[in-house]
Amino acid sequence: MARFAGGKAPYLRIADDPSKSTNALMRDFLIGMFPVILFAWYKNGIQVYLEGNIAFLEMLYPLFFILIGGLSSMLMEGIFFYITDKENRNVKGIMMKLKNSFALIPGIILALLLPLYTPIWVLLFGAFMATIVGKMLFGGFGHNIFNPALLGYLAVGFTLSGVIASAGGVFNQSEVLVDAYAGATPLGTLASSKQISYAALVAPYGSLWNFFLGTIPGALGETGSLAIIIGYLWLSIRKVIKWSTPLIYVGTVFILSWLIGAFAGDGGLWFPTYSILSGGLLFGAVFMATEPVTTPRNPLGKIIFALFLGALTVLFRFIGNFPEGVGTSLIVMNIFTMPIDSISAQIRAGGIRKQSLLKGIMIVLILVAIIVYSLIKSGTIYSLSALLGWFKLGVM
Amino acid sequence: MKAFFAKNGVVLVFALALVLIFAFGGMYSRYMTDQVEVHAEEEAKREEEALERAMALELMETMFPLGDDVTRRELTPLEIDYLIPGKSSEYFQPQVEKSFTVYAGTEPIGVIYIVVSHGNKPGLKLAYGIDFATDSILGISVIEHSETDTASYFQKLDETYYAQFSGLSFDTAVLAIDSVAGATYSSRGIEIATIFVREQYASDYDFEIPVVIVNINQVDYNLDPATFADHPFVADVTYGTEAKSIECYLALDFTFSGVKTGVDDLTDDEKLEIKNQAAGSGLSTLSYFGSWDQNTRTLVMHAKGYVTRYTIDVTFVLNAELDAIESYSVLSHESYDSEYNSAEYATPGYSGPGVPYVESMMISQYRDGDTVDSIAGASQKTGPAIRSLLDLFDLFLDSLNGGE
Repeated sequence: MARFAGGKAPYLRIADDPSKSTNALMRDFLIGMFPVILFAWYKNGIQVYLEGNIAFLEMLYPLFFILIGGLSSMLMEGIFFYITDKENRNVKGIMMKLKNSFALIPGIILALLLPLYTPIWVLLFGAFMATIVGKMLFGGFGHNIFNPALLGYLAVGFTLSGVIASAGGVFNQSEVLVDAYAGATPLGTLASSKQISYAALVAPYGSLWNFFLGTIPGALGETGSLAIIIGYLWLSIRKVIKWSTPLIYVGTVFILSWLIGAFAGDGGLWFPTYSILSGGLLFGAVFMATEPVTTPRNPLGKIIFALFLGALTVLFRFIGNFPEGVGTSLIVMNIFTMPIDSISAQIRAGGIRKQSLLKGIMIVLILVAIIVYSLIKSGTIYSLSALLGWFKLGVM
Repeated sequence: MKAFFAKNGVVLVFALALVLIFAFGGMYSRYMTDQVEVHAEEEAKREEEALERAMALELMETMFPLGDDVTRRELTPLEIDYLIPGKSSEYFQPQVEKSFTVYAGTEPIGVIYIVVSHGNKPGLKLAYGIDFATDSILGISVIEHSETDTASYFQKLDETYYAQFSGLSFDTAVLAIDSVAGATYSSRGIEIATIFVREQYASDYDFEIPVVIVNINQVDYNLDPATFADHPFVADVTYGTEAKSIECYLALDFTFSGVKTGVDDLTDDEKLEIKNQAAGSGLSTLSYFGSWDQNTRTLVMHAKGYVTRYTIDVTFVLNAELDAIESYSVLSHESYDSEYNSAEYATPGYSGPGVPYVESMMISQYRDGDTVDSIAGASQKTGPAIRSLLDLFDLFLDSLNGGE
């Protein structure tokens, strides 16, 4: 007899198997993040220290910053449990709850998204916004609407970016003011120049190989593409995340970027490759777009979610205040998780009927509209008629 | 108490941990922020050093054909005062800003000095390449300057001018450096820098500047009508280890131009030293005598005003007692920054190229025993030139009347 799970994700497929418990998922997720944390520490601390550019204490700081992010998030959640659950105020009860609620994750992700020189009190504020406001006030793990780390990141970004800047941290710029890492991020360069040119976007950082390795400017956790891919493989193999979601998300950005490049007169693969290896796309695709609570549950919903994420990310990269579009598009799509889940569930369960067909067409039309608008805002085409002109010429 | 901690211990520990993170983490992040500035300064210093090295290598390539590397060297800067070119009482100290040792392989073969001197304006920065083997300058290069960079001024210092420094040996008592008319102050600034570099070189390395013993006891205007046209100055000099004395004539640029009394056995170095010392005497070179005719009591004098190509020529006719001006005339090419340029200010019947209103007015004031005023619009060049001329004229009158 089939068994169905109700309520909010994540669901435990084999609840009795300790290796598939929420606790195990959290452990696997942390293991998946380990290469990223290690690379962030290496790039921003160890390597620069070995080159003789920073002191020993500075070398330890990136790791300290990430761990403090996770620890403070966990401590705040523990205090919240203590305040709200008067029946279980003992150590064992609180620790058990923390184990089952991914308590460390929002803080660690938040730290990986923030500039290295963010003051600790700002990190604590971000962790509070992520853990308490973004997660616990919605009912805790499994009930939050928005990705907690992203909520914390945006709260900090919108309210305290000046404080971070005066402390030496710069959003979307290098965190280490020495050697190869100095200067604007690749996406920052694109945002300021609006030029799709290999010489302007890639050459200053060496080659795309450096983008792949992660030796380019950027926030702590976002540049290590190789480390993120290793994490992705681990999480997919352990079935902690659905392997297809990051692929569809990244693939959408890749194809749209290729189109933008082609419209700009450069149909080479370097620009789409640059686009997916720049900024926080891979990090967001693997560690945030796959978050079980704030993303759709069924496979069709995940596909729709990822497609929209890809289109919105490209759009926000060209119209947003920040060079990056991943965070904003994820927050926006978090809002639509429930409707997408609902529509995709109807289509999946009932097949293509009149009502679901209309909804499906509507979704496709919205998606196409976002894509077209992205192409226009990219500056490579200037009106819809120009795009249609390409169709007439048989180019597309 | 025990029950309290059993009940609330967890939250206390958690809260304490957060406070500790806030406090110690805050200090840690503050330290990191401070380090940003430190690294920025380090980076700026590295960039500056890289630029500096690139500049030194470029200078090495142009000055030292055998050189293949340079290293920055520390030095003890000298503090020597020199008269600012064109000033009679204001001094400045040239500064060696940087110094580099030049190597051929591992062998040090020379040194490059970057010196800041004062020409017409401060900030005249020059590079000197000096060869250890010959103690001579291999090359000189102007790195930056604030001089008036036009064909009329600093640009007159052309390749021919700079070529005189190539091979210029420090091993002579007086460095013979020719200046360029029209860029006198800049030339003098470079000359001072060269003299100073030799002092610095002697201080840094095993090199002694040859000594020349010259002492000018007195230098004055030559008021003798028989010689004053060719020899505007006369100097009383003691020289050499035997303290010989000589009275000699000097040209308008203070170059040794002849002997008045004594025997001319001066060496070239001694003559150059006389010139250098006399140039610092403060005597004006703005005016000088042309001729004196005893029969007609006519004295012709010249002054150097605003127009450098022509002098202001003034002809005085003295009275019979030779103690006052009977009449005078002025031939001038001057041009003032005022309305006095216009023809209406010219003396009736005057047909010269300029309008010598200022000159005439100042001479009239002198003749009439009035205070000689500064004239607005001619206070920088013409006024001082005529004032100098009148001072010199005054001395001449005194000499004609037995010094009274």
